[in-house]
Amino acid sequence: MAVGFKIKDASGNVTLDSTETTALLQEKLEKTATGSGSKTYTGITSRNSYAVGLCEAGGSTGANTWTGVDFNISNSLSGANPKVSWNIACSAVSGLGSCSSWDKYHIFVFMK
Amino acid sequence: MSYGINIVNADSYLTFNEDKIYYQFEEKLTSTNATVVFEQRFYWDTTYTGSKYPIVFIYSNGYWCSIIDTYRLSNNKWRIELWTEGTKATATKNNITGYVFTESSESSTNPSWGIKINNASGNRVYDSDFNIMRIKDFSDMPAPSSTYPGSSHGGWNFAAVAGIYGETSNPHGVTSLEKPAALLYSNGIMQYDRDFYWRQYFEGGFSFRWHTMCGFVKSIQKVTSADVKHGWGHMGNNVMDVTNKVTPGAYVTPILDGADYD
Repeated sequence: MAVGFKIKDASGNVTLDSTETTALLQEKLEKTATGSGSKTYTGITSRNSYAVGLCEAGGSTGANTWTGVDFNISNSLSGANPKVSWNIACSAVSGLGSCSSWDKYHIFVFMK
Repeated sequence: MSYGINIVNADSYLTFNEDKIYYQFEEKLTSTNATVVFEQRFYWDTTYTGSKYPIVFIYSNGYWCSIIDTYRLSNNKWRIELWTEGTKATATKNNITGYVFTESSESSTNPSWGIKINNASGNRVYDSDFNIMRIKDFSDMPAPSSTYPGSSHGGWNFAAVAGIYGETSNPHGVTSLEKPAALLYSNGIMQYDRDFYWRQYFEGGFSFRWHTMCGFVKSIQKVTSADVKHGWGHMGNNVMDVTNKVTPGAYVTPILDGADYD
């Protein structure tokens, strides 16, 4: 390794290598309800955004598996002022599931 | 940047910044963490008991498998419920691996030495005791085809279905992955009037099949060394008459190498 640094844990395993190129987590957005929105990351001039949406259920086990959640996320790949848009929607199987049993919707915004 | 740490590598990529959140590797989930619910579903329980929502990358090793539910149990462990192909829950749990990552926490495996970095709000964003989540690249996960058995599939003589339907795929272009792992999360749903969860009962010497439950179909995913795949999976072996159908959209999934954390 000519430049940069590596950090190892107590067992000698590398836990951070400054020469590696990895996507950085820019922000974690937490929503408690379905619906749409967007966010523009100004001042970032040479990165593309990649957002992923994940669901967190409430404490009632299995109650949410009869529902489907779609985040409908779109990402700006222009490289300047990347923008992330979302429209979280939930559909339930009638009589078997309830969208209200989802507690949180997490949107992870990465930049690379 | 007025303060803090900002590290850029030789390729001009920002590789470290105290304003970012470094998700840390917590644990691997394998068959020893798994419990089969029935032949299309099983769940993992984590040993991780923190309050931070965990995200789980799946190395699917040739099996179709998606996360359908994530929640915290009363004992503070997290339960990850998974949806598998056909009747392969047992085979799948024995062959796939989940890699659990969480937001860097205040806890530490070795608080006496190493590097801990807090952001301007005093929240821990990096701890050298943990391996960080290293994403190799992103790939578009195409939505499955909407042509999964149509609205009148089956009829009274239930038609058997097996495997994955409406499969689409997209090359991810990330090479040299020993254990390709991605975020495989099910979304769209389909409902059928009937499925194979009939109950048999006897009355007056005759046998009746009493159909009580709905068929249930959701999207299901797989990642290979070459591509990501998205299709429809189903609960049960026989279906008929679609009554509700929501086709999932495409999504972007990050990809990493599970072997980095073995």
